[in-house]
Amino acid sequence: METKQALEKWLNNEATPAEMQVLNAWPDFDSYKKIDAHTKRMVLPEHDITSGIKALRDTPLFNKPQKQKRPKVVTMPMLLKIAAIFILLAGSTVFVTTLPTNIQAPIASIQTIELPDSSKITLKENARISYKKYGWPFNREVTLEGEAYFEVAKGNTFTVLTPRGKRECSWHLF
Amino acid sequence: MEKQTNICQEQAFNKVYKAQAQSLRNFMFFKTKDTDASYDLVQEAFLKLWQNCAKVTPEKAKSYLFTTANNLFLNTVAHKKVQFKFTQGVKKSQDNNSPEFLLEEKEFGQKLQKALDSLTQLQRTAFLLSRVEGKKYREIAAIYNISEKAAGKRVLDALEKLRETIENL
Repeated sequence: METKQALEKWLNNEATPAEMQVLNAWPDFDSYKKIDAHTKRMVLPEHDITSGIKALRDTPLFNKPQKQKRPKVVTMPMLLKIAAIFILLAGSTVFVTTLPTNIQAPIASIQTIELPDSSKITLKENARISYKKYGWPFNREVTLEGEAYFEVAKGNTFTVLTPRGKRECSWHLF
Repeated sequence: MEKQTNICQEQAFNKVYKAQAQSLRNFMFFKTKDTDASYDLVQEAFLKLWQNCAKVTPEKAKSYLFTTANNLFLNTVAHKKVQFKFTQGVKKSQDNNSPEFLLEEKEFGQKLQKALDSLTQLQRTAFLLSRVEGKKYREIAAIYNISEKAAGKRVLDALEKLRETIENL
């Protein structure tokens, strides 16, 4: 173990005289020294600096202007920025308003809902309706699954879509 | 006023080339075992450095080159099988020049080549960086991003493996 450590240090040119003594007394050390001496005689390919640089300069890729390339920043005119904000706002509003509101009556109880025009719907247990809260003035549609009691406000017509068919109604209790 | 040295300037780039080309070439030669392939890799690595000159500071250039060359090597020649051949300089002979001695030396050299050839790429490179280039474990560790201890072990393992291989040849 000690010799191994000394050998490792010797390979890094850091062996102390004491360690050298250990190594020199070790019969295997000669063969290691021989390997080392022979390896050191290896002739390396000489890299010609001048011709190397010249060859580099002759490559087409080298001559592309690469100098201090800055990251590209996309700039928009002010007007476009304002327009983009409005488009985003309008888009998100439309998206939100077209989301239907879903209501499901809990199991074993009834639930009464008031629509935006003060019509009332009473859902029987486990019935489910969905309607578009924000689009109500334009789009009076209620999708119904299950049983429900409708109390439609005067003068209002709306459509009830059931799995069985479409139904339009003005003021009604049904 | 900040004076920025940049490798994008030709002079600075040439300076880096002069300083690093040979050692990078050796590094690649140890890896590829091939004179021509190592030349190509060196040139390619410098081309990459030039293309990214704005991002690489002169202090980082060396490690950038070594890392890039190493990656290029792994991408291209890792699967190629090459026989390691190198010429060995003649020992400055003042002592024994008898034919038997010379023959024995030559044989040993051939065995050494075979043994080096059979080492793994990592072991061979680490060993040759240490022996031929005289690099310290610290420097080898920096190239490979490993600990100094691991670098030392790699070199030592390589030496022991070499001896074992040579004895069995």
